[in-house]
Amino acid sequence: MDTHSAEPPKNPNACMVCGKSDHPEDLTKRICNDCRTNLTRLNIPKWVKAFALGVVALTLVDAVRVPRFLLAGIHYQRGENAQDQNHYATAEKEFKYVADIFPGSIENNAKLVISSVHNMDFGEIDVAVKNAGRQTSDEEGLVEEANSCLEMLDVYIPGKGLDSLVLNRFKYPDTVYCDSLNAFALRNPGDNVAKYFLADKLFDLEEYKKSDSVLQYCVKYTPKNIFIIQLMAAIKRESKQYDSAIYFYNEMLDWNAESVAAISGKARVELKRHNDAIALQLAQQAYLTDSSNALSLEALAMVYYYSNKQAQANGLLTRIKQDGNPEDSVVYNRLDNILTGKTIFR
Amino acid sequence: MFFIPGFIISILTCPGIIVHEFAHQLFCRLFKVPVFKVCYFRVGNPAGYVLHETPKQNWQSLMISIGPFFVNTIVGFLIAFPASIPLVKFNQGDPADYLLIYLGVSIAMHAFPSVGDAKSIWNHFEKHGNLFKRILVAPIVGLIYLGAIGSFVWLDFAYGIGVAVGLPELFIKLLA
Repeated sequence: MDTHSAEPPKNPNACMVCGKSDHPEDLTKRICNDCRTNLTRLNIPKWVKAFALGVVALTLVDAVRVPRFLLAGIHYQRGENAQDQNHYATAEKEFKYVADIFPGSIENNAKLVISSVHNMDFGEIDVAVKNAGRQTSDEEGLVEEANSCLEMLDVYIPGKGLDSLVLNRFKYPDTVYCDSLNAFALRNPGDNVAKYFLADKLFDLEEYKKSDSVLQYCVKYTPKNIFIIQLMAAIKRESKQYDSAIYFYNEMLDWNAESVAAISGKARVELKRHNDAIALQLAQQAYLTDSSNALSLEALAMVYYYSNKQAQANGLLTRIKQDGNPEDSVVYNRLDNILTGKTIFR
Repeated sequence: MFFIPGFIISILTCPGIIVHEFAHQLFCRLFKVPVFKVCYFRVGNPAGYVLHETPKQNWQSLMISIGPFFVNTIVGFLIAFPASIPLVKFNQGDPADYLLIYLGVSIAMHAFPSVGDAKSIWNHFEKHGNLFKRILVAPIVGLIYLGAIGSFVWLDFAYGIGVAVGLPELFIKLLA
């Protein structure tokens, strides 16, 4: 891979290429004008041209996809940046965008799992886990992190014995189901899941004190579980321990600075405290974070309702019904009960 | 660090050598310097060469010698870029992506001017340049020699990977 400068021939009057002697005198090399013109052309052999053509064609064919892939790369990077700042709502949106283009990317799916668990977005968790399938990744830390996030969902997976009880819960009145859960939890004192289900049911039955004491056990053994913390915050809110409720919601926000569940939960606490201006700010923040999230719509609707803006509140209720996922029916019913006066929230 | 004979590396990365020699030829064309012979690739030492007239200007001689650094880097990047995102970032490449990354890396890793190029620059400046010009060009020649020494520890390969994989990554980071 050298460049060599050729020296002039011995005969000073001859063109060193063609042997003629009509070379101009002012040039450093003894080459006639015709030869000079010919040699300064870009003479490329056919095989080099064919090689270049092949490479250019292949590059162009691949380059057609560049805008789409470039956008995927940019969104992936933005997702990573958002995750680094604990902004998981943004991260989830970015990784979802990438998943549409690269559904088989294990790294993206793992990051989507992590983000969707942080956002408690069960629908997306399911999709991302299915996409990830049984693929392996070189990034062991990432897969480990995704798996540890998924382990938080264990509180929703009843073990043997408890599963049949949970599956058949709609066959019995709530109080019977609750008593059965209590009996099961007493028989299986180490079963954290049973205690979580029991605490959740007691919360539904407005037995907040009992629910609190049962859930304390879960908090003690799995202090970092976001789903347990969320239930704890709700119990504190309904028990009128507002500062404690805010404390737990802030714990959720430490974990995910864009947790719509936590921000809208804080809005509900402030509504309870009659701090309607702060509640409005928080509800708007939740809405801006994720305007399609049923919890953000619910919080904003409640703020509107208590500001006597019934029409806007009803509009948001309709949106939850129209745009929401099937699992949003709980939120819809809860809000509907408040807006129709069946439930007295404050 | 493992050793692979130079001729095997040359054969494996011949696209880079072809582009390298083409870059010398291209710069000769730009400066209207007559080219007597071009060997784009051969199994031997050097693996390719361009035989051209001594340029009138010192800087033209310099540019002809270091031209491949620019051409191979840019061409290597452009070829690898469409493939690097699906293949490297998302591990979702198809065979064409593998081929383009191979081409990109092999072209970019031959961006460094060779020792022969360094000698050519130095000889030219020794003959036609004054002391000041020789002092100016000495660091460039030194860097080329350093690059040649570095190739024993795969510096050229690392550079190829950096251009084909690292630059697209950096590009995305800047855009995000």
